[in-house]
Amino acid sequence: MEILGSIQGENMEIAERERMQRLMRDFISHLQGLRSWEESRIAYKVHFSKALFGSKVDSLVEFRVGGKEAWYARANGPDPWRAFCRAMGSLKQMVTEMEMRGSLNAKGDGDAA
Amino acid sequence: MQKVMAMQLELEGTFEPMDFHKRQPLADKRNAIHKRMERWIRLQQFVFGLPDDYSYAVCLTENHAGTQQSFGLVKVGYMNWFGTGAGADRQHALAVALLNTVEAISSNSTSVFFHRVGKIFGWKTKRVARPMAPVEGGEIRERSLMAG
Repeated sequence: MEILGSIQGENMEIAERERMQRLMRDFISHLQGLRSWEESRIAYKVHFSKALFGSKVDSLVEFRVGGKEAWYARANGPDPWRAFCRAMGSLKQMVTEMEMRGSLNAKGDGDAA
Repeated sequence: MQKVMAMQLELEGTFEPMDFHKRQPLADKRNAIHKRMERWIRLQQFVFGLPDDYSYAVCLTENHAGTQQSFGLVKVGYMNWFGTGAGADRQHALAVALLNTVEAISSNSTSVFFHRVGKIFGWKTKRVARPMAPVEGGEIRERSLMAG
């Protein structure tokens, strides 16, 4: 499976770019092992922005799996790295909760939650 | 060839050029989800006086029959589910963390908002001091005592 992605920042320097890429690749690979997707390519995007008069950095993490599945996470923090960590923390916690409830491997076959 | 494509992706900063020709039913919901989630979080922060830190994650899936299913996790403020501290808003933060996405984006908090505004400006509701009901022994009397 090929994992491609981009990390974008609006008017800001992103110091931990390679670390973020590695974490995203690890997370998507881990999820692919759990959910056994058939897609050969998965693209992700990490986007950072800042409000005009705001002090916090907003992060947006998203990736889709062939139009059938989409994962989004959003968070804020004092710098891009912490905003990214919060978004990834939410994603990982959600995977943990889905594992505990046994709905991770259901592939959305059940009724709407 | 694939390496060149990956390099171009990184350089140009584009996202998913290979998926443009595919059907993306979940992409249509993206903006609506973010807009409503953030509006809901801002309202919670305003009404309950929580700090401005937040994070949320959403997973949307579609099965072969076209039925969509969503999973979500919302955190408002510094509190999270696995925290060891017992803060005043821990109960609220726990309830928020356990919220389903469907509940979160479909909750209509407009009435809560106007109730709050009315309370601030004293338009609608006047609070009447009533004698407190007798409290059973061992119960938590006030919310401030839950702060720990």
